[in-house]
Amino acid sequence: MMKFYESGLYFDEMFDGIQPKPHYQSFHHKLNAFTKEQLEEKYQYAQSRFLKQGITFTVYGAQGGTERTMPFDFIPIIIPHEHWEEIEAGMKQRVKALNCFLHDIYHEQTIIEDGLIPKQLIENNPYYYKEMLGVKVPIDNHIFLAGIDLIRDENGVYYVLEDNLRNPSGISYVFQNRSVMKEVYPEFFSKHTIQSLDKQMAFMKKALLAHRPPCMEANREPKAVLLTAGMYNSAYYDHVFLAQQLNIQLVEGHDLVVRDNKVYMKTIYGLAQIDIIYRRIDDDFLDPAVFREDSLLGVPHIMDAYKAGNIAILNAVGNGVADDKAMYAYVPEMIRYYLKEEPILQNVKTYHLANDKQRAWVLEHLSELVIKNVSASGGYDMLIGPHASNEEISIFKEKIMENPYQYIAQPTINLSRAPAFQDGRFYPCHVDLRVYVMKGEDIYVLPGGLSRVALKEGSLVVNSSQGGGAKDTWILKEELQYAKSSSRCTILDGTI
Amino acid sequence: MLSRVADALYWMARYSERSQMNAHILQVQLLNMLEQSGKENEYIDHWEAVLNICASKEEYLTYYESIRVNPLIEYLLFSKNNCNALHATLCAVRENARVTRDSLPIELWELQNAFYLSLQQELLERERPIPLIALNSFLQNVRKTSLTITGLIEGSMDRALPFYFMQVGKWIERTEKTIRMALIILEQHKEIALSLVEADGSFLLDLSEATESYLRKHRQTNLLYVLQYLLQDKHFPRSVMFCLQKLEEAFICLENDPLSARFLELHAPLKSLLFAMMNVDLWNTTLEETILILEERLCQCIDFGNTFSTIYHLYEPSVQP
Repeated sequence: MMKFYESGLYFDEMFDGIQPKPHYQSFHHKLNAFTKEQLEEKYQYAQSRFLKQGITFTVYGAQGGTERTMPFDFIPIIIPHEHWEEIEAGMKQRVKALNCFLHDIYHEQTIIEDGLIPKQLIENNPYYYKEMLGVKVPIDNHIFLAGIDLIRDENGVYYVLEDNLRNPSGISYVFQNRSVMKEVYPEFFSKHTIQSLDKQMAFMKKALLAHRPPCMEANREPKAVLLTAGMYNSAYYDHVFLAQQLNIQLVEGHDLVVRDNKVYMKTIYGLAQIDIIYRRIDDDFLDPAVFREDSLLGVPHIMDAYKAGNIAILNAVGNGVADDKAMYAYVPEMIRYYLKEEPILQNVKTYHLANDKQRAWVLEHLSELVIKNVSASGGYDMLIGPHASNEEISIFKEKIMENPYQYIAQPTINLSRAPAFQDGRFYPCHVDLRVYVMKGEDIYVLPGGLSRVALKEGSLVVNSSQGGGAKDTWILKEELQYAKSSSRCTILDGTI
Repeated sequence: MLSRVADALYWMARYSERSQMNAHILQVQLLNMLEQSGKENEYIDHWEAVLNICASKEEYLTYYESIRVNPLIEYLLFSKNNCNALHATLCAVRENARVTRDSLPIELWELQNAFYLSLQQELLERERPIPLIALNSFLQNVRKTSLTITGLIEGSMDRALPFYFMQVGKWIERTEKTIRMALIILEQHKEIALSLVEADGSFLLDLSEATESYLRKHRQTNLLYVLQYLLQDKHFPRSVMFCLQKLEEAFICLENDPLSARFLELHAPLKSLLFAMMNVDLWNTTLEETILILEERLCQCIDFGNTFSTIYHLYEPSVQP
């Protein structure tokens, strides 16, 4: 019998006290059939699969051994069908509203005129690009792929933690985690019916090709490419995977050239025109003639081709204004304003520190709150009050006083936990879930997503750059939600 | 296909061929030297030949004072100063595979990546000098992996652009290498008073991995026969003639239309190289003349590689709308 732990005060994905939840019972049962040594062996094998396949991310600034695999933990996050239905609906609603918002602020700006969002908050935003004002993007869609991070509190309620509308990465891990899971841990699948990932890329491809640039001839098939920063980029594996799955060329900036406001790629037969770019480099680096001059990753004058309607750039330029941590607080309002609906998924309460009253209260309560820099990501420049020393708190106090627009505060949430198996033992770790939403003519949510886990015991940071790992995510199918205890089919370990 | 990708595939194949061949040459020499004494002329000559085939003696001597085995092994296998060191060419294979992995069979990439990772782990951290037995098994491993890779390419890759660009890289590299090996051995003979019919060609046969195949067809291993075999035999896969025929086949597949401007532009120099090689008459030329002829053929071969790169826009500046 395996030794686990008691869920305690936290919400645990798998356990109620020491008992597994109904949708984890069959998994738990299977788990008990393995010895520690067997699990350890499987774990080593799984890690070596990632390394051999080159599924690695690059750690910046580290000396030597800069290619690392993201640690994989084999205990999946299992989500019952009815919970997933709600998440899916909430995701669609959120992305739809965010897209309306992006369209609005680069065109009519009614949301500002109607006084819902302070004009200053938008105009001071470093990701708000005046170059995008009035630019018509294909099918009026700014968000081709969004990665929306969800957390659960001590009662198991889901909250949106963050929207990523620029270049959300990690989708390849969802597929690879499943593939390694199937290869190394086939036994665990035998009594579950879960939503397969096999056909999902077809939706992504359809959504991609729906973005025909306005000036493209109607009878031509659009030609799409994926623009990468190259093999030293931390998410290079993601780029390779997507290019392969979407069956499009993986290009670098210097493979492309702009002539007469049209974009061409340099092929062995000369130049060939392209129509859609799924870019995985940030806005700042996209066009050295418009944004950062020193960018070697981008394509000079690509913005001219974009504005002339000869090329689609996905995700659209200027999305950063909608996904920063300050704008996040207004998303529920956006949903009410544009869609006339109540938000399905909740936001975490957010305090704006530019507001005198809110700031004063926050400065008094720093030791209970989480403070985040609105333009940082990856868990950097962040204060977790209850875990911080007095010195750290006073440093943040100064930072906030100096630049209140740069920070927001949120209450600490007792992040839910799930068991992880590392170094031969089970222990509880905090988890979150990044859900991927694709939008073309329709909106589509990838079933499951990337469950990220803070493998350092007690840590709250799930980012891979800071010791986080990943888990497979299973969405149970409705009809066979809980595995039956005595199905009479042959299962993989040979028993009937 | 993107020019950058075509270029990377072409170079991946060239480096892969180079690694495999250099590993073989080093393996031959490491075993060879066991039976020789450090004072014999032959011993020094052989190491010099190996150094010149796999790198350059001149460059080596800018870093080291004399030709001694341990520094030589370090230089040919691991030195960062030698861009053709085995470690450097193996890394180049992997880096080129990494940027073209969306054009390669997944298994091919995994094989190359796994080999590279094991190389990093097992060899580089070892204390020097590495014992001969470990070196030998490493070189054997390089060759075995290369053979598996060749099999995987042949057996699983679509006969499409990526495949043919790799083929061109492989056969050009091999052609150049065989001519270079013959040239270096001939250069060494300039100083010896023996005629080519009297001189022994078995070292050249060993280096070019031809001994087994050659001995099935010939009894004598004099240098003249060996040279003829390596340059003109139509069936031995490392002979220059064989490689040029393979190159021609690859071009015919790469360009379906034999009347296209690209095909004609490439085919003409290739055909002339083929004829020139066919017409080399080793029996009626002096050693100096043979060396001159081979030097010309090598230049023709290098020029041909450049023409190929220009026609398919593998060079950045030549891209025109």
